[in-house]
Amino acid sequence: MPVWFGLFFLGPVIAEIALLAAHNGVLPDSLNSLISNTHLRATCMAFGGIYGLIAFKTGRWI
Amino acid sequence: MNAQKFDIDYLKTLDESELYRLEREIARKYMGGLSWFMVLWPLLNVLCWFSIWPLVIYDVIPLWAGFIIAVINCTLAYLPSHEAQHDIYARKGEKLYWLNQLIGHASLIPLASSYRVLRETHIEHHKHTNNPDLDPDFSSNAETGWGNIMNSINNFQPGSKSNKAYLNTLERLNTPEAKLAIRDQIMITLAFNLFLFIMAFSGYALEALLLWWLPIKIGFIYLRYYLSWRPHFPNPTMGRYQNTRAFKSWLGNLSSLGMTAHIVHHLHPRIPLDRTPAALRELEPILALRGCSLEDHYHIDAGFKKQ
Repeated sequence: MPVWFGLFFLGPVIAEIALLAAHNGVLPDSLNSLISNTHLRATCMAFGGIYGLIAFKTGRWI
Repeated sequence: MNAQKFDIDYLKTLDESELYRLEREIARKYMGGLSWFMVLWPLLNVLCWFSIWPLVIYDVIPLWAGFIIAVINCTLAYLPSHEAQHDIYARKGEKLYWLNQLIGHASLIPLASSYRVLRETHIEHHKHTNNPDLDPDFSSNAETGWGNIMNSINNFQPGSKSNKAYLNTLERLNTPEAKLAIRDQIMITLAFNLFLFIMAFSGYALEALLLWWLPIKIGFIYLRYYLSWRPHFPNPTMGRYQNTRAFKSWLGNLSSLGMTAHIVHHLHPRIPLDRTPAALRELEPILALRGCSLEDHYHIDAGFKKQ
């Protein structure tokens, strides 16, 4: 379950937060352009999935 | 309900069985009848929680306001179900038993938890309070309140002790009801996660996070602190009159969700939550004589209430 949770929920949550931060000008310009030039959702989902896998293996999210 | 005041010197003249009979008589006064407060509580709480979703999604209220309301809803979701776990609304065979079961199941929707799991494990908590091997809530034990909060956060980890304690309890019971409870929780967890995934894919990941996922976590931390830790820990002891204590809380009975009188609940579980403070006030001299830990509530030597 942690892998699915990371992939399908945590990833999209991080993507939405990043988009919100970029939209509100909270992030530095270099990060802003990085966000707009990458497949943000897919990247964040991949990160969430890997994080979930680590949580599953170690038994800990934090 | 006429509360009687008992003189401590009079109580000292009673023998064990007379004292017990008096305690039962007082407790019985507070049992029975439907507490409308406890019926309206879950109804309004669940309705409120459901209504914040469209209100936030259609921008009627901001997400941060919805988050605060959702945290309150999740924190308030458990106790009506707890009443149902003890058949306080109605017993099996009574006309209103359907209401007992409906409240038991429905009030837990904001917490995405199974009524059967919580009922089966809670009854075991009552039977084996503070027993490190058999009390499923023993993992709340900590030296300090912060320790309990850290325990609760640790219990959200995939390999959590608390989840294992509940599962171990259900497996130990191995009854048809316990098996149903495990099945229920699996189904609820799958449905909950599916909902989160669908919301995330529809562009509402933050709403799902702040209206459901995070409020559940905060709600459970608060509940475990006031329902498990404050009344039983630190220094957990076993025994009918020693395993739970009365305590005072910074916002009184309200902030502790009625748990300052939790000792009354453990001694007489069929007294509705909203009547336990009054029952405690009347039972105080007897409980003090029994050596119960009443913190600031009552001082047996002086025989008066300290405020």
